[in-house]
Amino acid sequence: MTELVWISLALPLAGFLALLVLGTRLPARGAGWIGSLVMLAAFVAAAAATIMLAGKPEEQRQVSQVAWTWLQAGNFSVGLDIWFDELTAVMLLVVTGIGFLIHVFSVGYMQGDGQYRRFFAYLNLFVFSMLMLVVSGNLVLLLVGWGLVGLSSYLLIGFWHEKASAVKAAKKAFVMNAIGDVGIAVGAFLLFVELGTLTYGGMFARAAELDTATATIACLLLLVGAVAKSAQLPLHTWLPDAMEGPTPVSALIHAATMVTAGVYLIARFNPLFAEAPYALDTVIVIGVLGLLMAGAIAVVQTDIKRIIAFSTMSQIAYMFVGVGLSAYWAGIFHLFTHAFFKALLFMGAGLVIHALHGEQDIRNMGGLKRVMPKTWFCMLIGALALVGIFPFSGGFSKDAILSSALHVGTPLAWVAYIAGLVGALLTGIYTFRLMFLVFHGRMSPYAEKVAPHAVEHHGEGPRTMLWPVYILTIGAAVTGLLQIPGVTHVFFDWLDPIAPGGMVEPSAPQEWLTTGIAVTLGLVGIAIAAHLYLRGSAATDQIRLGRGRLIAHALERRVYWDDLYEVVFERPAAWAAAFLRRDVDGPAARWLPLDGAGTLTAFLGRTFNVVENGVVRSYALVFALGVGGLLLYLLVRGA
Amino acid sequence: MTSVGLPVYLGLSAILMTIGLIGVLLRRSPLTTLLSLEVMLNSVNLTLVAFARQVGGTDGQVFALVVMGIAAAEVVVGLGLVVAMTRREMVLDTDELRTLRG
Amino acid sequence: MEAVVFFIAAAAAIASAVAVVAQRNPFVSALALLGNLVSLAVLMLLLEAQFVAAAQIIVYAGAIMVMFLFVIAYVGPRGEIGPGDRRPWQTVLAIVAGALIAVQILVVVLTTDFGQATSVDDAFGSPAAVGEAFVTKYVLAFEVVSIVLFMAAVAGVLYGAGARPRRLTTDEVVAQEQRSAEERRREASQAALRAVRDQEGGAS
Repeated sequence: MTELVWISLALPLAGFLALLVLGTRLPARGAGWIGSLVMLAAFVAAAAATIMLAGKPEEQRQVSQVAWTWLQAGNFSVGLDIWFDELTAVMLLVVTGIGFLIHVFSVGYMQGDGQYRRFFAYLNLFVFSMLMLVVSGNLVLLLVGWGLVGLSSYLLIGFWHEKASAVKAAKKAFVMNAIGDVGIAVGAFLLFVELGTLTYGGMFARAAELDTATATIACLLLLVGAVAKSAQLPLHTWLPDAMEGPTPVSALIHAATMVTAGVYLIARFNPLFAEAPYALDTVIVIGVLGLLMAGAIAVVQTDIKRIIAFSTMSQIAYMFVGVGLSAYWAGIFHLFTHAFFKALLFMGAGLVIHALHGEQDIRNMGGLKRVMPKTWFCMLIGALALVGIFPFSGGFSKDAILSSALHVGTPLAWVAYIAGLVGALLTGIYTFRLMFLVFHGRMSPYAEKVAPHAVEHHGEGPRTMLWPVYILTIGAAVTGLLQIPGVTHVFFDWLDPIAPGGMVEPSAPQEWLTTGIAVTLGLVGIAIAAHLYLRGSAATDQIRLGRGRLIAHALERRVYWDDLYEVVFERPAAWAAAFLRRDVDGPAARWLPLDGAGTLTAFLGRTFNVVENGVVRSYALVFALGVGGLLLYLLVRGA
Repeated sequence: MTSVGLPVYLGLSAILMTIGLIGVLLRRSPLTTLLSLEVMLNSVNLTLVAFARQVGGTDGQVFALVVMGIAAAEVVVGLGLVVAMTRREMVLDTDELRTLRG
Repeated sequence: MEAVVFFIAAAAAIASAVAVVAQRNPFVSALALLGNLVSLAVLMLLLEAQFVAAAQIIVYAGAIMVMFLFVIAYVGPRGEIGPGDRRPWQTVLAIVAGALIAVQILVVVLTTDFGQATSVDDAFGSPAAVGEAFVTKYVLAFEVVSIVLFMAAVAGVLYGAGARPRRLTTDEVVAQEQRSAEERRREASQAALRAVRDQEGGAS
């Protein structure tokens, strides 16, 4: 069974290396199919491993294996070890399964791009990093995967490196993630000092020995990493900019896998977080603020991918609320369903962008239902799942989180509950604003010129793009049925053993009550969206917003976070650099003989350049003279 | 070695070595350079075998065989270069190959 | 008797070595090297290194020299270079270096007392003795040599295969991309330089 996990981990790496080595020797399409087949094989291995894991009795389902120790210093040792349990299995299936579909989608989407092979090499590298992150059996290895994920995300966001904005976005994402990496690294130091080990088994067994203050600090440090990677407040500003990358990247990294790593981290370290109630409360607070803010911002965005990006941030904030409430199963359940419907929405957006030759502004869309009925239908299912309309998947998982809040019942949990319900309303508004502005109403002049023509020629997209979307549509529709309150219980039972401290589970009436309220609010949101956006074309959007100009402006500037960071960090640093350059470095260079070293080096270089005449024979002569001289020295000294 | 002592062998070896060295330093044809290198390697082989006889161990002889193997490898690469140069219609003159110039 | 054989072989070795170095025609040089190898094999027999002597003849004279002759025949008259050295310093210094090394070695060798040679039995230098040392004490060296030889064979084939036709399509694409990237970088750095200059001009 562990062999299968190793195989699943090694395959994407092998794919990456193969694409790297074979490079331009491969035909372009071949590279795409190699990348995809590797992912399919990895998914099969992961599925087989999961089935074997399920066949074991519950208490034997935490398997760890050390391949070898690659770092040893005193009593500190780090092995290349994996940890395979129910949580790992879920993550493994999501990453390889959704990853495979997105690879296939990319075969069609990236067609004609000159850098096709590089793209698939990066994608495989990303999947390898992500798998490394989820299967690692100790904190150091997790940090390795964590960093590699940041790197491959950087490479993929900046994939179109001839676009200045893409490069800038990639740098931003990398820097933000680096802050999180530092948090985890420092947290790892602290945990090692306190616990003397960094393996999961060792740490969790001794978690109870931590006093509350230490545990809180350690958990908050881990939380810094989780917040950075999951694009939560206050390190969220990189996610919307990351939409500069190709759309499949947004679907894979910025919806289904990488940004959920933070949720995974908190769920994985639940024995530590159980010792740090304040850290858990912080997680809830971050989640509550994030889900409201991101949902509100999504309402006014005009870039189709940015709307979905803010929606992702909002949904991950829900997951944070879930794990913060110790309802780890609900958080991971939402992660699982979200991976389906959000990847679906991104890929649907990809189809739309594809048909419109790269246009991403929803004001230049409208009325596309007529020309792209298949895309419309699939995205409608995804949108309904996102809003949480019964019986589509998102509703079950989101309501599981909210009803857990109801079940916990502390003041903070009540705040989370109400915020979550308001969030459901916002979700309804922004999701269906997107749907109405893109697919309904009057067609914008640009769309009218481009879309019918494109669809007439190529259909709504090549088969490699449509089939993954269909499969995800089915997934978005049915995965919620794994956990119907009071009926099925699969997800909770499966994840129950990962939290030794127990998990919050709401009762069926609480869940159904929450579902009722949330669905109603979602429908109200859809109705508001219909009232505001269904009639008229997308261009009228801005006029509608004119009523609440101040708020709208704040939301359009994304609540001024970017401006804040610019004022607090960017400008002082730029100012200090300019000052040092102009008033310290410049005069110093002018008045001190600082170029002496350079002049001397250049002089010596010119002098000895004579020897470098390029004739091999004279090099050999110098060598022979050297040997003779050395012998002479030895003779004279010996005598 | 009863009548001819080790120093004589070593002296002969030194003379051969020097002849080969001068060949390497003076000849411009890569083929002759390689042949001169062979002379140098052979003189070393003679030294190794002579010392092996002197101390009565097989180590020197084993080393001589290793030197032969390495010499074979060197010749293969060197001759491969000569063939490649010929096929590219280059002048077979080491002084003309001056890309190493700094 | 032994001394006579030695001096004949030694004289032949020196004479043939000089011929290797001095001959204009590489074909004659190669034949002279053959003579050098044979005389050295005789000397090795005198030193009771039967196996090494046999290997010298079989491997060196038999295999390596044949390869040399093949290549010399392939290259043909192009292998010959006319006289005239454009580097007088090279000649002078080469002779100085050679003389320096030779004289010093001779001085050291002839003034050192190495003592009597060890007496050895008949098995010394036999294939069995050398082979045993090779596969026990020196097995690593043995393997390394075999790998080096293998790599050299591959390299020889690659060099000898010569220039293949270039795959123009991909190369062109890569070159173009690199060129455009290079241009962009240059433009950016020039723009930055200009900006700095402007700023400095304004400041001063």
